[in-house]
Amino acid sequence: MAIEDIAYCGGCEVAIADLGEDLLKLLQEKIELVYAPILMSSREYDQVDVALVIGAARNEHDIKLIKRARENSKVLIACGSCACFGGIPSLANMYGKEELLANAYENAPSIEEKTVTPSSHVPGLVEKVLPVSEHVKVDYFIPGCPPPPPIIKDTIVALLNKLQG
Amino acid sequence: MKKEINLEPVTRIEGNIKVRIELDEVGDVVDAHAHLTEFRGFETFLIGRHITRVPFIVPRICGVCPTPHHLASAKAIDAGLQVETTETAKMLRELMLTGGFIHDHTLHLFVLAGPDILLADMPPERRGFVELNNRFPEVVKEVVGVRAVGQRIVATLGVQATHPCTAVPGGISKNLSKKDRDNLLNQVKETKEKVIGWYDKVIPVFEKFADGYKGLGGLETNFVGLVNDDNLDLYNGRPRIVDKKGAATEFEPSDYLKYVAERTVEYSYAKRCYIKSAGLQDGMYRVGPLARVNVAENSLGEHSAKLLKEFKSKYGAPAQETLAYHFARYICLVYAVERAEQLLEDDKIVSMNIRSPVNIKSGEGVGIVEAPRGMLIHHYRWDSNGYITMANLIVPTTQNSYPIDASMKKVVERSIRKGKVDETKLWHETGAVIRAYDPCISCATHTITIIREGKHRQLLK
Repeated sequence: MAIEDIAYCGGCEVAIADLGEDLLKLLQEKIELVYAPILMSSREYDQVDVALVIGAARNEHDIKLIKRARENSKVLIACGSCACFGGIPSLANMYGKEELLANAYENAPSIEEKTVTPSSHVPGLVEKVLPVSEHVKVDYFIPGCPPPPPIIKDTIVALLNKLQG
Repeated sequence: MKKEINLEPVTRIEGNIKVRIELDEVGDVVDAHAHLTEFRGFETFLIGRHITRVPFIVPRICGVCPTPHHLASAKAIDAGLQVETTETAKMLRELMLTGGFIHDHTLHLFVLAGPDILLADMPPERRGFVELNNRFPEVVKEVVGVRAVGQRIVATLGVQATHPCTAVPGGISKNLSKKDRDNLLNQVKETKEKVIGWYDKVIPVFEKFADGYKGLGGLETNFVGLVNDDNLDLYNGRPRIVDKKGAATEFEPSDYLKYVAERTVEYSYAKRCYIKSAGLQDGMYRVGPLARVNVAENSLGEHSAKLLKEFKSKYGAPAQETLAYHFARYICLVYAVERAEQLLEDDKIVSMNIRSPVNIKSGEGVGIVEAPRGMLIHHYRWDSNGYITMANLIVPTTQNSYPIDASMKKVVERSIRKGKVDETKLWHETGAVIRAYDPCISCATHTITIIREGKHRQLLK
């Protein structure tokens, strides 16, 4: 299994960590976790049975990661409200990216010199923050902000049981 | 021919960071920078939201540390409405915050930073929670248990552990029952024994690691953190600046704009924060565990007070050693557990007097708390109906991204000479310095960018 993080807060990963001892048991008995940047150090992954995508697509880099997750997985799950529906980051769609950047980098009262807005060596923002299913086919959705830990576990276990026959 | 090396993704941090290294014709380092690559824009989506809803939206800045965002927001609104929360509400909010610290610091010490230190003999790309559990199943079991107690405190007071939702203008919407209090108190007492027990088992390994890399990622900076009468404090304290020589200045939260300022950087979604009077260069400051132990003289917890003395005699005051962040983080974990016990032992915590009356009127307020990664500032203005017209958020990782960025060049130079790159060392040392700060890119890139050590590592023209 791989966990791909895009524009996210980390709360879904914390919900997974909150499985606690159940998680340790799953990792020993059922799941081989090959990629999860927040929890481990592997820097890439190849074919996996299940890819869990967490977060909404905020920038161009996020879209690349979503496509990679689709290509590399048999089953793709959108986990959490951001991945399923756009979530809180998609509130941005009410404003447009120029206004978002201006409020963060020009209009904030603590900024002394209003000169540059980040533009080089950082991924460009896309016009609209969209859920994962607007970019690739999603097989299953686990909604919630964050989804309750037992629901994440039951979903993954049921899928793995099916895939592993 | 000029070359560039990109290290991405930097793993085991919360978010996306990229490290970019520029080399000259002979292959020596010209410069290196950390780029935070995420951006979400919470300052904007808060505009037009009602102040009673804001404390529920801002935890989504960060799922790892939602509690301090929730509470800084509630404090900012209380301040702007000039409402004094009841004593019990203050205690419950502070207890919730200590729960967040117990969860977060345990997670970072063992899952995020720990693998570099406890699994130092493994190749960097294999280090992580899974291998840690294979090798130290007993320690991991204890860690999982301690973290769960932290989360249980937040869940009991805040309804859910990730994204608590009970702090409201004027206080808190859920009281603590006597039964829940007794339950939590028992668990906190057991947790305290375990956490204090780590001092002998784990801290020497962290210390040895820090001693082996003296000066790695070294900087001379100022520090900012909260204190309450010279003591460590997470919720009620006032911000104190300690300069490079150790001189202290305290200020009121509502005056923060007179003391700290920010400047934008073209290559990162993180801004540079600095002490206003000292200017961009000399005003660089750090926040988080190292800052907290540097600004505090003492602690009201017995063990954390002893540890604080030991720390100061070993690393000096103010301590500048970057890898000492880990020991400092352990002290803050001990303090959080001790403080949780003190709060739970006080019978006032089960009082039903949990909310002061609130009248909605126009206002402006600043709320500051310690988040696990450092001082967190929320500042809002709203109209007479209570709708937000301006929001400014200064989060710990934004404040620490300037020192992280400033230390990168010296760190990468140790692994690159005349075009020869020692990749294992480069990943290891860059990761060790970045992780010392426990950067949370989600927070910083509410407006943040993160660097990831990893897959997209590539040599480019």
